[in-house]
Amino acid sequence: MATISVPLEQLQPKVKRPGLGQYLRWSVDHKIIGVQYAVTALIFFLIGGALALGIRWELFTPDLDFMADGTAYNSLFSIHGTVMIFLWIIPMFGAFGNYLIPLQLGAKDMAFPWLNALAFWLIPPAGIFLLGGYLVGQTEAGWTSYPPLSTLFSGDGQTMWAMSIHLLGISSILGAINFIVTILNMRPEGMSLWQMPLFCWALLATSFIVVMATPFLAGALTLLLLDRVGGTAFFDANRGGDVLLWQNIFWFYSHPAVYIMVLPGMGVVSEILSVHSRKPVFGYRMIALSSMAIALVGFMVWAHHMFTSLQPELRIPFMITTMIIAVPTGIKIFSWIGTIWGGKIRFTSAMLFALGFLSMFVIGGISGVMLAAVPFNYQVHDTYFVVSHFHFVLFGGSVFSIYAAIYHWFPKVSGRMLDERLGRLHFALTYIGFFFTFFPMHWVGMLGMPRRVAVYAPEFQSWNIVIGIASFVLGFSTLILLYNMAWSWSKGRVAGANPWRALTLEWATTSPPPAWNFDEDPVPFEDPYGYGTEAAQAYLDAIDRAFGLPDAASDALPRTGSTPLSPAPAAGD
Amino acid sequence: MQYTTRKPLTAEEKRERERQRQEREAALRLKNNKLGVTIFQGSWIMVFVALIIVNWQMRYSPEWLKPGYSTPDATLPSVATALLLASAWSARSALRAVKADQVAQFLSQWRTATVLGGAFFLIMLSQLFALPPEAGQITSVFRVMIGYHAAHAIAIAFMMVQVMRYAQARPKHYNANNHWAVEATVRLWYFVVVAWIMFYVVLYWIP
Amino acid sequence: MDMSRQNNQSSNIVPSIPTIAIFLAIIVGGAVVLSTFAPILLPPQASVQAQRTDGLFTVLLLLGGVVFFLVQGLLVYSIIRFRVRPNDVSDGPNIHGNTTLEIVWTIIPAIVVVVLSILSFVVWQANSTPQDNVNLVEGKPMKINVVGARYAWSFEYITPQERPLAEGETLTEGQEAPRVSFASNQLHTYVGQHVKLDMNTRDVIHSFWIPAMRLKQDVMPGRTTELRFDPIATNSGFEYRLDEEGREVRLTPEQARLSKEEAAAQGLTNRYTKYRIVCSELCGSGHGQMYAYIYVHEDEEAFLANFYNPQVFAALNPPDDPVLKGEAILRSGAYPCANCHILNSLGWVGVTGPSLNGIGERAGRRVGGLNGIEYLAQSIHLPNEYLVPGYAAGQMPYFGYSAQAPAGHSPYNVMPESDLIGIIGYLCAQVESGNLNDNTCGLVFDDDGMLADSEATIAQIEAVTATYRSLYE
Repeated sequence: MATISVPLEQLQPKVKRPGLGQYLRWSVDHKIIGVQYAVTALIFFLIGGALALGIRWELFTPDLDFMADGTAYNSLFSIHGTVMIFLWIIPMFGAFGNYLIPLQLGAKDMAFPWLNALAFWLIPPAGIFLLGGYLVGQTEAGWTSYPPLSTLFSGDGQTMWAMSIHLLGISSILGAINFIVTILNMRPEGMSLWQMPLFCWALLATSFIVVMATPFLAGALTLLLLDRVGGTAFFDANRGGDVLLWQNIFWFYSHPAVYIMVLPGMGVVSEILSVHSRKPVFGYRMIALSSMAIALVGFMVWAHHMFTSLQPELRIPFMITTMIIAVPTGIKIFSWIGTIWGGKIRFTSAMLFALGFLSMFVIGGISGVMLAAVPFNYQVHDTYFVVSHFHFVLFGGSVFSIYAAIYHWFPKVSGRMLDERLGRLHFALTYIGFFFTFFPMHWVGMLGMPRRVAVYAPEFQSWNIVIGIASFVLGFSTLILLYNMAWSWSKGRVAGANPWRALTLEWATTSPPPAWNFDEDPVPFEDPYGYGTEAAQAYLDAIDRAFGLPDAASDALPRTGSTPLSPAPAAGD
Repeated sequence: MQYTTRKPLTAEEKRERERQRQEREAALRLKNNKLGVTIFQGSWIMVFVALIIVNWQMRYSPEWLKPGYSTPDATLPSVATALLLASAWSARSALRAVKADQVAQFLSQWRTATVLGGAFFLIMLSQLFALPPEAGQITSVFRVMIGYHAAHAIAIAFMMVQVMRYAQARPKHYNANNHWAVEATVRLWYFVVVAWIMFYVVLYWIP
Repeated sequence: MDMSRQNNQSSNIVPSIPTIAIFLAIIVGGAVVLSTFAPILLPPQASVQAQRTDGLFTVLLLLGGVVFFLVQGLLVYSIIRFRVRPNDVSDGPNIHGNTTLEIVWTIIPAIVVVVLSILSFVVWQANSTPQDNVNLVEGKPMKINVVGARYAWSFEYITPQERPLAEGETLTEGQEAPRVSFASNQLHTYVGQHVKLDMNTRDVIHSFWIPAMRLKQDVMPGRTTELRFDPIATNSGFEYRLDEEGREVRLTPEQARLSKEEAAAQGLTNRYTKYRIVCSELCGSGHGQMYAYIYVHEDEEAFLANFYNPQVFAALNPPDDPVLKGEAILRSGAYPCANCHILNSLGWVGVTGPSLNGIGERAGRRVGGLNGIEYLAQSIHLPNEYLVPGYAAGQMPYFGYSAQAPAGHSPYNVMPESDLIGIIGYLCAQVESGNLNDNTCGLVFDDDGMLADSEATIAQIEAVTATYRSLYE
């Protein structure tokens, strides 16, 4: 006889949502911080997206006509890449990590709430620093900032770029320390590591990468700053420096950073596929372990970004380590298919994006293996093929999973459901827009169009027009999501505590949760994905009894209706 | 199997739970702090590893050490290393003392540790100028490494001074039950020692 | 909750054998069809290396296709087959995994990547094994240096031919005789030549990429990298030829595909084909404009007749007239001016820097106190001293007489004083009014457009250029 810790037959009182003022101030509540992260990241997503559309607008013609000059175009994609990586994807997963980890572990807050707030508040100044570069001559060396272009040439914005990334690196290290300690120390009684939600596993692996790799970025940036303002010549070959030094140290961070950006998404997808197909995760341990394997092997592959610059004899070893990564990634993909196989798939917007993730991410995986093959890499390195590859991983992977996560957890954060019809429209436009933006790039790249050019050979124009039109569809689709979120925040249907009838602990409290998260220490269900058992049904029914039902007209999962239940109170402001 | 839900608690039970909860949370805080500092150390030592890799790769530069210059002399840094080790040793003794509630002994050993640390720091500052800029790439690498280490050393030495000031102002401030600040400082000081030993070997003993 | 119904379902989730067979057939068929697209997904196959790389690509496409169709197929199948039916509120079966299946989908990808690694290694090794007898012309090896500079490629050919010693030049004991060398902004080779390029950069990292050859190698400051390839004739043949006046003529596809003998019979000699050389590493504002062409001649004979011999002749017989000499230097592409500046008389179309059309008329009026020659000399030695409105500092590289760069003048390019005199002379002669004597350099031209006195003009320019010598000592 197991129990869950909610008062018998007694409905929880209405929960007040935090006011706007609380979101604008320093707060140590992980839920406030989570929302602060998310809103900040979404703002930067819009900025980065606008920059991307600027790039596509320029590329409608093979000549330089939209931007004033080549330098302005170079800043465009440099800032686009930097913003999307460091100010959108990484902080957005920081948002979900912050909001969800303590809730999924049944904890009151993170291990170090104050440090958590500090980690967030480093981000806005860093973002302002980065964009402020436009006032002093923006960086034009790309997000990779290879010297000597970034040291001897690029504008003073490059110095601000480096300082900004430095701050963001410190922010993510502080965040990651917090995640690791919270996950390792603050699990509730009855939840071993192997009973932890897979999202926590993913964040554990991610945080491990962050703490081990980000210091290398700090080291590289220190040298870059010294070369720019301190008169040193670490990267100036004319004075005995070495340009490969930067590439090695930079990629030692930045390749693992790809997994920082995609592992949390994999965690999200593992959760959502299981919940929305009403079936346990297939091969839970393998998914958890493959995250760790990816994190470990991810440290040994950095030089595959340098196949055209690295000493030839070192290229093959890095090809082999890179190919190895395909194995744990494959395990995940097949396990996810195993998860939905035989389930009761419900096509909620969250599920659509999770399935979209699967179908798009696998393309990024295939092109990744192709890129690892050194001879073929020579042809496509630094071309649109690579642009396509990493957008399939980072948009088809990370951003699709972020969208899925937004549809899945927005009800928990706001107490309201997102509109499902708008969600489906958003999915359709995103999926089509995304595919036709990035898939043709493979071909354009193989045929000979390098990346980061404003001027290109006229024979590529027709494809660039197709890509450009699709990219505007993709850009527009984002506005639907933002409208949906804004509208649903106040007008959406009441979500109740557990609209998706999910077993993880964040659903065993009101939506939104009170400041202290749980009225009493919650007792986790013995299997976070144990769907399809009577025990799970009983557990979920008990949550419904204690917290009330979602609005009957909402798109929440329908109930069996065996016991008469009251509707959940609406969350007010 | 049937799931039931718990009955509401009485006021008495609630108070008792509250007391237990506070105890648990205090223990958890300490546990979190310890793990947090350990992970921070594991993470931040990577910056020092990165700089060692920089050192190693720059050694291949044709202008690593121009003819007519030699690598810096190891005598003074060896003295500094000895001072640092001694400082860490007395910081460790001080921590043991405070854990055993021997407050006076703690304070005297802590003072010794701080003074030795200060001496180490001064020698390190002088080492920043052990090589002239004309000597080649070695000077930049050398200065970055020493400077980076010194920046961390001064931050943590500042913590040591703060602990000393608190302990002097209120002799019983740190005791067997309250010594996390001391322990954290000692742990971070160990970190400075480990980072320094790595640098010391790389900078002075690998030709 | 009806548990028995659930159990039924869990046995229902294994598809029947025919379904599996059809599914597998679709996957394999799809992948095979996909892999036949390999040739149209890639540019022409113009080197031995390209053939091997494309073989590997076909395998990658085949295996990638299998994974693609397998995963998407399973997804589509699941979505249709396992969608929730209306009014069904039950959960799916409580299945947590299947060890056999998990082992299978770990081992199979592992085997696939091992195979791919071995295959890639074999192709890589075949492609990077050095060939003997590289860059042969008339049986002797030539050295080809590639120099990347913002924003142009230039190619320096050091031929096996000895050149006569210049005035005042002496050879020390054991020193090899100097060779004839020339520079060009085109890379010329011929079918059957083993090409080896030694590559450097003047400023930032560039990446030398010939899509048709499937080869790419970065050029990096402080390092010399090399690239080797063996050009071959493609199916589309040789699409261009030079006519009797030396103009490029585009051939019809049929003419291009004719065999050498058939073409010669129709008088279509001197055929060649050309491919783009692209910079694929971000190098600054003009990155997209940084490209050149590689010319692959039909055979060595055509290569000699249409490129090599005229270049050697020009190198051995430089014009005395500084204007003509300057034109020859600039036309050769030895300096990367063309990709940033507009100059109609040489067909330059760069936009990163100011236009040079009519510069001879403007040069003397740009900066107070500097005449045309002085202004041009300063613009080349110290380009950031005066900036044309609308153009940023740091875009134009410094050019000086020796590798001993003045402080703060990095990155740095060498331009011998004799070259500079010619270039200034030529730029002074760029007038738009039609009257060469409108130049503001003080150069005097005859009615037939030639310098009135070449030697006096050289002395006049040298008086200015000589003042910069002290900078480089």
